[in-house]
Amino acid sequence: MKNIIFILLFFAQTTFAQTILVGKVLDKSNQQPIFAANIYWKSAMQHGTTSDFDGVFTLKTLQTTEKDTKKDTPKDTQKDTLVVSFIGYETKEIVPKSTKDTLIVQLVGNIGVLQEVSVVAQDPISQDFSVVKLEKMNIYTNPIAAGDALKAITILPSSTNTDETANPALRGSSADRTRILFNGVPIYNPVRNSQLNGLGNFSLFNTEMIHKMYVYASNPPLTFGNTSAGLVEIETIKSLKTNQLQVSLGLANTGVFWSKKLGKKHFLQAYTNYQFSSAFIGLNKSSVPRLRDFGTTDGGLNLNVQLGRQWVWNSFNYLITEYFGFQTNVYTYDNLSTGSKQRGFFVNNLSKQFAKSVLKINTLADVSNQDYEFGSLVSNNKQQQFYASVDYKYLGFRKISLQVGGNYDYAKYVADTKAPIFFYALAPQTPTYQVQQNLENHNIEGYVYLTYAAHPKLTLSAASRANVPTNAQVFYGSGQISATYQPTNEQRWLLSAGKYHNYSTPTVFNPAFNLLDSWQAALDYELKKASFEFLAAVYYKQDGGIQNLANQQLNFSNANKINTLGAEIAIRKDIGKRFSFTVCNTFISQKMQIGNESFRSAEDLAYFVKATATYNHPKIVTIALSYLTREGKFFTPIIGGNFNARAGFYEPIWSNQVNSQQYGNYHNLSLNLNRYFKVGKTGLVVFASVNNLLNISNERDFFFASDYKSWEVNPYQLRTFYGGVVWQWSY
Amino acid sequence: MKNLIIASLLAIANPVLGVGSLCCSQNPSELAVSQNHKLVSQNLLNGIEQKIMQSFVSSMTTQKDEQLQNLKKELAALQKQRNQNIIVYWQSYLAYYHAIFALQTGKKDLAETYTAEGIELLDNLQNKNSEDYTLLAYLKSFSIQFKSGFKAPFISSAVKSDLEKAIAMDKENLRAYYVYASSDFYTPEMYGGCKEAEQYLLKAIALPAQKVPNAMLPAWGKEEAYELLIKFYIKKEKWEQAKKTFQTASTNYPNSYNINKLAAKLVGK
Repeated sequence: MKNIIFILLFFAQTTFAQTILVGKVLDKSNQQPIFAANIYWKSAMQHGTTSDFDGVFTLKTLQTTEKDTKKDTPKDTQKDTLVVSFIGYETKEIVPKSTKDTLIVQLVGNIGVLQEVSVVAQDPISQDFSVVKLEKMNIYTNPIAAGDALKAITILPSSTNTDETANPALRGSSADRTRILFNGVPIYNPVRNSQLNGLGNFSLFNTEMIHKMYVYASNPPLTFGNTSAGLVEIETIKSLKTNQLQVSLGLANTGVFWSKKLGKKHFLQAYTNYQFSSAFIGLNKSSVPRLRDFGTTDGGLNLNVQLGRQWVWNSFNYLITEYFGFQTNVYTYDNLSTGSKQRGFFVNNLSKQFAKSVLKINTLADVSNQDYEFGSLVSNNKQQQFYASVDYKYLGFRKISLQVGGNYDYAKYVADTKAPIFFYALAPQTPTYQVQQNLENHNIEGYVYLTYAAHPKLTLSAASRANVPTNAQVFYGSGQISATYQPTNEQRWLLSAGKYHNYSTPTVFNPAFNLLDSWQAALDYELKKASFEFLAAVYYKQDGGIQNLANQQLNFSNANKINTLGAEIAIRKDIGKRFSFTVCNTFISQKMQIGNESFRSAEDLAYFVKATATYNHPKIVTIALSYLTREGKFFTPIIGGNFNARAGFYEPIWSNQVNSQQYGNYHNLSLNLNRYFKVGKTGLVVFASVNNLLNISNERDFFFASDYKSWEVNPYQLRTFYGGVVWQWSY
Repeated sequence: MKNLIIASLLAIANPVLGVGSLCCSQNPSELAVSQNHKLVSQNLLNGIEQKIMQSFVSSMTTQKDEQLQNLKKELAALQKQRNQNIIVYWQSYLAYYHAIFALQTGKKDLAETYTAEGIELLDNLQNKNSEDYTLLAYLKSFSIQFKSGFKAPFISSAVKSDLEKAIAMDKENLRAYYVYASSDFYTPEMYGGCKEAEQYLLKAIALPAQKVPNAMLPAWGKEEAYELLIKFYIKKEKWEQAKKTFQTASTNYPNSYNINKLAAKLVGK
């Protein structure tokens, strides 16, 4: 008690005398009054008030007269500090000089907006112009994706992939025109066993790592280059909520995934998979009679480190080794083809968050070694890809967002191939020639991307990208304009148009970096209600450049132009809380130009219908039925053969009616089931699937007799069974 | 009996008692109301959170939403005249209560409509602040009950996205932490739920309802955070922590029906 008295005496004796302070609170940026701002004395918060609609406030002052107890003399009157604050503004402290005049207090806005930058900055500047945005949950609940990120795209109406693979082909363009961007860098051939029929079956990405996936079905944003069709932008997670251990065991795969927080801000994700074929082939022997063996072993490591408050480093490192053996038929030669591949890619991202902007530096190193052997064709190729980009995004303007950047994309293709002199004569004893190829491509580009929020419901964007030619390259410029209009929360219109460029990826059959281009215009519409969705799109594309058609039945391989007119429609309807139905159809009218002549394209599809029916009861089962049907692809018929004594094989003779015949229409009904069980603190997902439930023999192409006088169907995958379990433990 | 009915009505809406308790406690907002009475006595927005709560309770008592409709009209008229984001916030907040009223009176379609209205109001708001994003997330989270099971995980994702923005803008917004925890608490574990609720609720109860007392700005959330934290511990069978939290909560909010009713679940544990 004595102490308290002492303290009181020591400091001061205070008395109050009050006058009225009148003031006005304004937004400094536009001088508009701020309503409901807090105004109070720093030493006495309870003596506060709020501003009215005109920003005006009145407040009794706290003029204090202090008596210095040491000197025992009255001290001069001292005014307290006035504090003015409001949500979204920087708090301001003022010592009023006088109460005679109205005190004008100008608050600096944007404090909230600036901090929001850190959230918004993580999203792509072009995200408003993506057709679809998928998250991890979309992938897991996708009825045909089987948890695979790229397979999840195939259910979209814009996916026009006809090869039952995970490699995306969008809106009628070839898969090689579409790019997969992983944390800002391009991953070419993002599928496993990419040599198996030229395309792979499952993507290289682990879904557990994925934060968001943006699908630009056409008009790829020019923040990225080297794409002239669609673009899929994958971003890995930015933060880890909990540690997790996941162990999976399936008919053809076993794997372990582990994610671990490192301190409060950093995290690590590591996984490995071993894919094996014996159980799958054993169970589905009659359905995959030509598949002999396949396997992959892969491992990935993703590390996210916060360097200080604003720097973030993310490093994803991936290694895979794979092999396969497949009974293959090319023209009249039938034998086992074998292949193997070793690949590693390393993606590093460094980003710095400024108050109003973001700087990102992205690098990729991707190296692979690939062997392939089929009869007399023996090839080895080594590919290297080095990529570096710098992107700077500025979000400080009220209605405008700006991003500029540049990239260097180096690709090297070294091939040592023993190839048959006669393309149709592939037996080991047939004449061959040896060829070594060493190709390089230095692709340097820069871009500007601008968005303008013209109205709360209307956002516009414009972008331009150009290359800096190296070696024998030509100069080219790409440009695009887009508008997205949201008349209501439920509706969105998206209009985009532009010209785009990319280089083809060299393959054994087309060892060249050909410059391709594309003119595109697309209009998308979406209506999303609580239990009903409707999507529609129309687009026109003119794909140019030397394009390898990779068609065994076509004895000429390059087209100058492919013109595509497409339309899509999709409906989703939920009935009750358990049932959901989707149906979509895509119409593609596609013509290709070879020389001065125009022909129907192989994928000139009058319809491509995808329908799903899902019953979801977490405590019982989730069942998804999916049905895909489309018109058969067109092909140029082989009408006979001429025996070539030197080759020892008949040379095929094609009809001069290009793409005049059609394979049978395609039908595939598939079934997926899964059930989640809670087991103590862990979870267990049991899943099973039947692909091609009706065991329909869909025509992929034909096997020919040696003289081409008869043939039999080489079907797509017949009915196959798959299943497995995934055990998850979050801790 | 009358008290029981009123208490039951109050129990329907989570944020209600939070406001009521503030009025009864020594929360400085009361002082601000008093101090500023002369200036804003005719201001519809002065003590608006309580006014909405009172309208809701009156509507529930009479089973007619006249009071809510009247307040809705007044806010709409004021917004037309003044065009302020904070008015839109309260319009949206009222829409939430209107939805609860509709739900409790068996009009589920109307409840869905009001919820959608509340979401649209905030969605269309430019320059959203932390409170706007929080309420938007709250309404979206509330809307899950009207959607199919397929949509639920995606709405949860949108809710988290809004809340991340809210927290990035204001790291001391207790309502953002509460709504985050609430969303997590009600998300099934198979969809990754119930992992972060505790840490966010502990954060929420450690923060003040308002940093500066202001009768025109939101003050709800703290009592609800206490209530949910007790429920969380009960669910996880952490009885000691449940009892300890209950004691603190009932000391801070002695008149809280929602908290007090949890006592029955703790007896003998």
